[in-house]
Parts: sequence; C-alpha cells; structure tokens
Amino acid sequence: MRIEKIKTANYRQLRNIELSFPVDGNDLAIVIGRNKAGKTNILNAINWCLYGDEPHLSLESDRLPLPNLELIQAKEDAQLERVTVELTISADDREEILVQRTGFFSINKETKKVVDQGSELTVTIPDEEEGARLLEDAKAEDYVERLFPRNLREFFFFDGERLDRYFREETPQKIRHAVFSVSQIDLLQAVEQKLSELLNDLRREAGRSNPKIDQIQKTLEEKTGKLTQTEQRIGELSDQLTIAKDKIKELEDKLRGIPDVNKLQSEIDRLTLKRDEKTKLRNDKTKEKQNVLFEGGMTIIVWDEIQKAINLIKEKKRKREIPPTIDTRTLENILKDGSCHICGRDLDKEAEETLLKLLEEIKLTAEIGRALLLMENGLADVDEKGRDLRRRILAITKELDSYNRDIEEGEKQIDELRKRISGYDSGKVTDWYNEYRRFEHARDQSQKTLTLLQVLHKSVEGDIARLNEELKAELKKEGRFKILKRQLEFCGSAFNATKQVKKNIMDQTRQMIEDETKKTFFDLMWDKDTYGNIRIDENYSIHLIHAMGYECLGTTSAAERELLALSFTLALHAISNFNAPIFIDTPVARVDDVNREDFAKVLADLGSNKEIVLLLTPTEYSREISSILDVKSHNRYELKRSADETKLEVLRYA
Amino acid sequence: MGQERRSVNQHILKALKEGCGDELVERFLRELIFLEANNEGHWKETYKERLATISKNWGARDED
Repeated sequence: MRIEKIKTANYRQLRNIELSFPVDGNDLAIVIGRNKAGKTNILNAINWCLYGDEPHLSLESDRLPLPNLELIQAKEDAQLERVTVELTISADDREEILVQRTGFFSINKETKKVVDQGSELTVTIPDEEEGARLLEDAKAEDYVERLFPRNLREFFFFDGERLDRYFREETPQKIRHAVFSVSQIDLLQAVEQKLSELLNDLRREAGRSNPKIDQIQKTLEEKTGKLTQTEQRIGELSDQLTIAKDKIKELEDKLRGIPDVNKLQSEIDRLTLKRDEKTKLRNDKTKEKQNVLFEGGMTIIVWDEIQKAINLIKEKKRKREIPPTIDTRTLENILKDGSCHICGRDLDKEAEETLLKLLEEIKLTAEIGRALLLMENGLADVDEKGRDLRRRILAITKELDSYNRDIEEGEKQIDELRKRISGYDSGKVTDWYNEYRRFEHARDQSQKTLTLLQVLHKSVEGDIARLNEELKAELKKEGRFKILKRQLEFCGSAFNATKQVKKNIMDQTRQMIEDETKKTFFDLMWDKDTYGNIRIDENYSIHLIHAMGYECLGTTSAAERELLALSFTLALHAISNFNAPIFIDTPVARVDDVNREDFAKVLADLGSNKEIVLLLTPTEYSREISSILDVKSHNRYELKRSADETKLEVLRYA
Repeated sequence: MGQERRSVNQHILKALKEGCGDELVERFLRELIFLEANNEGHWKETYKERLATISKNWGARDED
C-alpha cells in the first residue's frame, strides 16, 4: 500500500499544495522545509484526513485555527469555509483510492473568530462495474480503519523523536498491545472472550431445568471468573515485574561506577559519630591526666631526688658505711652492776671509763642508724607514691594514644569516603539509589505474588476441568439435552482451541518479531562488531546485548537506539498484514554527527522494500546526507515560502 | 455494492490450521475471526447461529 499523492486546500499553512510520490525504482521521497514551513503539518494533514485529529501539532500551531490564516484574514462574507485534505492511496492490486476529508468552518468576518462546524470523510473506490463507489461517514471511516488502523498509526507516521525515546517511554505493556493489534492476536482475544460468554449462556440454559447442572454451572462461572481475574493479575504483575527489571537495568547502567552516595554518607555519619565519641573520651582522659599530674605534681618534682637519696642509702648500706644498730642495754647493765656479765670480773676505774666511752660512741652511731632508717622508710613511701603515679600516668597515656589512633583512623576513613562522593550530585544520585532500591523491592514483591498466583491458577484450572467433566456426565444423563450438550462440548473445544492457538501465536509472533528486529538491526547496523544479540522476552521487554555479553540498551548512542526502534517498527510491519508506508519527520535531527551518515544510509536503503517519506530540515539535509539520500530518491521536494512570505510553494528540489 | 472485507493475518490462519486439532473447530474459529475482523452485526446471535449450524456435524462422533 502506498500514499501516491497528498493534496490540501486551505489546510493550515499548506494552503494549496500537492505532493506526489510516484514510484521510480527505490521508493524513497524527501521533503525539505525550514522549521515552521509546514513539514510536520504534512503528518498532521494525513492524520486529520484519515482520523480527524492532528497528533503532531506544535504548541504554536495548536493555538491557531485549522483553516489557513490568510483565508481567515481575507474573509469577507458569511459563508462556511471548507478545508480539504485528499490522499490518493494505492492498495494491493486495486486502482487508486481517494480518501478525502472536508472540514467546515464558520468565520466571523469582523472578529475573525473561527468555529469548527464538523467534517465529512469520503472514500472513492474504483469499481469495475460502477466505475467508482463512494463511501461516506461510518462506512468511509470503517474503510479507512481497515487500510490504516488508527491504533497503529504511530507505526506509520511518526517523528524521529519518537524513535529516539521509544524504548525509554513505551512500556512493555504498550508494546505488547501494539504487537497484539498489528498481529491481530486481539481478534483471537475477542473470540476467546465471546466464546466464554457463550459457554456460560449455554450452561445457564441447561441449568434452568436441572438443579445439579445449575449448581455446577454456577460454580463453573465463579471459577472461570476467578481464573480470568487471576490471569489478569498475573498479566499485570508480569508487566510490573518487567517494568521493575527494566528500571533496575536502566538504573544499574546509570549508576555504573557511581558510588551509593546515600550509603556512603550514612557511613560517614556513623564514622563521624564514632570519632566524636572517641574525641570526647580522649578529652576526658586528658583532663584525668591533668588532674593526676596536678595532684602528684610535688611527688613528681622531687621523685628523682628521692630516688637518688634512696640509692645513696642503699649504696652506703652496701658499702657498710652505715653503722649497725647496736643494743646498748647490756653495756648499761654491766656499768650499773659494776661487774662483767660475760667473765664475772668486777669493773675497775679504767674499765668503767672505757665502757662509758664505748657507750657514748655506740649511742651516736645508733642514733645515726635510726635516723637513716627512719629517713629511708619515708623516702620509700614517697618512692612508692611516685611509682604509682607513674603507672597511672602511663596507663592514661596508653589510653590517650589508643584514642588518638582511633580518631586519626576515623578521620582518614571519613576523608576517603568524602573524596569518593565528592563531584557527584548527591541529591540526584541518592534519588537514583532510592529508586533502585524501590524497584528491587517491587521486583521481589511481584515475583513472590506471581509465584503464588501461578499456583492458584493451576489449581483453579484443575477445578474447572473437574467441573466440566461433572457437567458432561450430568448432561449425558439428560437425554433431552442432546443438542445442547453437543453445542456445549463443541463450544468448549473451540474455546480451548482458541486459548491454545492464541498462546502458540503469541509465542510465534514474539519469536518472529525478535528474529525480524535482529535481522534488520544487524543488516543495517554500521558497526557490526559492537552488538552480539537482541532478545525480546515474553513480556516484550527488549534487550540489546553487547558483543561482550552485557545488556547495553541504556548506554547506546541515539543513532543506534533509533536504529533499534526502527528495526522493531519494521518487524511489526513485517508480521502485520499491512504493507503500509512510513513517514518520518526530522529523522536524523537527534542523531549525532558521527553516526548521522550511517543512519541516513539505513533510511535510504529502506525504500527498496516500502514507501518511505522523509521530512527533513535544511540542516538535516546537509551536503553529506543529501549525497547519500539523493542517489536513492527521485521524489525530492522543497516547501518554500514565496518571496513576499504570503504563499507556501512546493518546488521540485534540484 | 460489495462490502470491503478486512483481511486476516496469514499467521493467525496458519496457527489455527496447526493448532486446532479438529477441522470443524478450525472452520468455526476461522469464521469467527473473520467476523471479528470485520465487526459484522450483533455478535451473540451470529455466534449462536454459527455454533448451532456447525455443531450439527460434531454430534456423530460424540454420541458415545
């Protein structure tokens, strides 16, 4: 199917233009136009013609009325004005079909206020017998829907931005929905749902005249409802699980090499608290040491001298320079008795004098000895006190050293952690890490619930199979239900077959899309060695695998991402029944300079399979890009304002 | 004036052929899918009618 021609009358700035895209070899057409020249409004004109709305309006255009502004300004009568967009479409083996929408607008000639009075859609189909058939209103809309299903339009007419953001914004659920529409799995879903309803009707009918059947039917209905609910919940949870996994993957990509600032900050806080506690203990200990030094200050000052004195006494003792302490009582008693207690001889005068002299000498020596003894004890007490003080001070100093070491180590760790988190936007990184943990939690919760629901699903399925058997047996007993029984069983078989076929085709479709996406991507990819694989899992989450084996969708360049989205879009085209054209607005605007030419080559080659229309700005259509596209395109146009800026012209681009 | 019919994806028709395991069921489902594709009429009456017609031939094999 191709769009052969677009013709507009009074539509926005495309007041009176005609763009034809005749096939001539490669089916690639190019339309070049400056910003605001009306390029994007070509997409809007197509959408308005087919569906009656304009999804690509810029904010500025959205404020403007749909009829051409010059038309509004020149309005001088009260008649309704018409706006027309006409598409000439060639579909399959048919001749050209004409799809035309005409909008009616009343314009106040004084205030220039525009009021939309509705629009009409017509489809003119060539007919061998009648020449042409005209379809109007609902029939025309129905026909257009069959040509370009509305819910798939974003796969036919889109802008480069959509390609760029495709895998970031489209949820797997939306992608799956698109796949179901494109592949028509939704038709099977509709049949499945209606057969289920029909089965219930048939069972109810049987139950009306047999209470047992009625009971079985009611239970069956209840169980079927439960099964549907469980399936829906499983579907939702699978989607949530996929979203959580994708988000985790995306955040892992973002956070690769970035420290967990929040966690590190908590560690810094913990270490700071510990350091502060140690500092307080150290300060207390320092105070304690000061007190001890203050209390024992004198002892410490004299301790050296005391030790010297003690040592001196010890030395004197060792050298026997200190007289022994002698007991003088024996000599005094001898003198008192006048005779020697040892030999019994009486004392003479000379002996008495000798004894008195000896006693005098001994007395002096004994007193010195006693004094030294007394002094030594006192010194020993002071010495012990000094030793005790020393022990206490040493213990305190040891503790202080330990605190200082801990504080120093803590400071070092804090500094290292601070260095690690410096340079990162802590708020942003914290948000990412928080988000990461939230999605991890969501993933674990979804996984847990999913497992439980899968068990429940199996059990309910078992119940339904058993109830169906019971129903079959009951119906068999009732001869009058022969036809009903047959219909029920046939309908049941058809229902089960639909379920099975749907499952098969879902698997096949996913596999086909994966294969097609892979084939297109690797065919078109300029750097063949970078990527190893593309995987699409059962929830339609897309995984791009680097040649080194890791997932890398989050870190690919815009050009590669757009190529992947384009490959996926083309895969959807391939599996669908629609050989539809593709219109892309500003296709290379977001692609970096390095890959722009490669991506342009890809776009140029697409025209070998289907109609491709590229709407480019002059900047996009650079010398390098035009040299690639021009050789593949015979339809090149330029949207150009006339010299006086009043008219938009379509010129063949030389 | 002939009615334009929306075609059905060949993959679906192929999957029906391969996955139904019964010719009658396949025929029935094929009809229903075309009905869905073209959104013709009130579905319940049409479904019932098709079921009544096609299941007549199903009886013989199930009258055990």
